[in-house]
Amino acid sequence: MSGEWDVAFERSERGGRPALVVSGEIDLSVAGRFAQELGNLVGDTDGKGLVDLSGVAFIDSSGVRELLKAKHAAEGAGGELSLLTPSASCRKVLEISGVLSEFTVLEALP
Amino acid sequence: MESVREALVHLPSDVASLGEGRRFVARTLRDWKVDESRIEPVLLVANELVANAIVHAQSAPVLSLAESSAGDLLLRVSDESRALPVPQAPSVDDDGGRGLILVQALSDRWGIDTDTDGKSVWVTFAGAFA
Repeated sequence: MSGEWDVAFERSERGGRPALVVSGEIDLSVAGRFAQELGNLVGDTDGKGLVDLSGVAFIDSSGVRELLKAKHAAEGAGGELSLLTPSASCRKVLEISGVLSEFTVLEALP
Repeated sequence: MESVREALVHLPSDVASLGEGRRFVARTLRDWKVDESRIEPVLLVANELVANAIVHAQSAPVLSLAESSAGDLLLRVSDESRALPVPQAPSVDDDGGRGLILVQALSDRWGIDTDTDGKSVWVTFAGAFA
């Protein structure tokens, strides 16, 4: 089974803000696609987009790295990358990695 | 360490095999009746070690799981490179180097065995079968 079917990226809106909705498993095999999707979100929204992580079943250190890069890119664009309702396992990985506090985490729709 | 049971899988040297490795771990531990809450940390650790083997060692890894007679779980990822992984303490602005941080945080002990054929990184999860 390839990684192709195990992850989905969808552009949508959450609480009136542009959002990237991520679901499935984020690992090194999809890190390039994740980076591209995050880059598009940051570029299209002047860094003011949301990343909805509620449907993330798995994320590894490569996924965390791409989120951090996108956060820095968003700040460079004068915005801020906010994470929306990360799943319990996603939150745990961000926490153990020591980066959860780096992000603005929204616990509900703005 | 004396093993009660063992299972292993040979994975291709391709990041597309990361999911296969995780599914092997999940399937095996469910077969062995390991509690669900204990499975997720093992999935994360196995994933990071397999990714390291593929990316840094550029080698086809062998992933194995064993239950010790003491009820601990031993995870081992072997590859054909003798180059050793180096844990890093990333700064706040550093975007990388977090894989082994996860390994250290989620396991009880870990270490590296080397021989002429390469190395294996082993990790124990104490009381996984409790």
